[in-house]
Amino acid sequence: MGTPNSKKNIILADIDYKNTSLLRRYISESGKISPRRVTGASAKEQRRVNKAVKIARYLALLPFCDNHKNQ
Amino acid sequence: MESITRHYELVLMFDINQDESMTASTLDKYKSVITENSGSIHRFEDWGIMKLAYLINKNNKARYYLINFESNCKTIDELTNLIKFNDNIIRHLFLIQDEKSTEPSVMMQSKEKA
Repeated sequence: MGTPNSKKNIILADIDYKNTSLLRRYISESGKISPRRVTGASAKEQRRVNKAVKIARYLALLPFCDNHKNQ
Repeated sequence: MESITRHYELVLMFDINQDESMTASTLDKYKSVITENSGSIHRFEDWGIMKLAYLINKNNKARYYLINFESNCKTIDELTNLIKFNDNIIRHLFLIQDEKSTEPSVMMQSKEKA
C-alpha cells in the first residue's frame, strides 16, 4: 500500500509474480494497480509490475478486487 | 533435425481435498515425461498449502508446486494434455524463461525466513 519506501531500493530483476510482498506496494487497497504517478515507478518498472501483478492474480496470489466473496 | 529446447517455468495448483499420494505420483509422472523427452529439471519447489486470494471452484486453499525445466515444445503439449484431464489440478501456468533458474525462488526464501 502507498508508495515504495525508497525508489532506489527496487531492482528490476526483483519484480516477479512470485514476489507478492513487493508487488503489494504497487497495488491499491482494493487490489487495483496504482498509476506510476502515485508510486513513482519508472516506465520500465511499471511495465514489469503490470505483467507480474496480472500473472499473480491468475494464480490467486493477489486479488482482482476487494469484493471477492470468501466462504 | 534436433528440436529446439527452451527454458520453462510451470506452476501447478493442486486441490487439497485430494489424496496426497496421488499428488506425489502425478508429479513423478510429469517429471518423468520431461526427462524422457530429453529435457532436464533445474528447479523443483513445494510452496505448500497457501490461502487463495479468491475462491476457485469453491476452494479457498491450494497446494502450489513450481517446476523449472528445459525441454522442447512437444513435451509442453504432452504435459498440457495430461494436466487438462487431471481433476486434482485446479489451475496451471506455463511461462517461458530467458535463462535457467536454479536458485531458490523468492517464495522459498521468504518461507525460510519465517
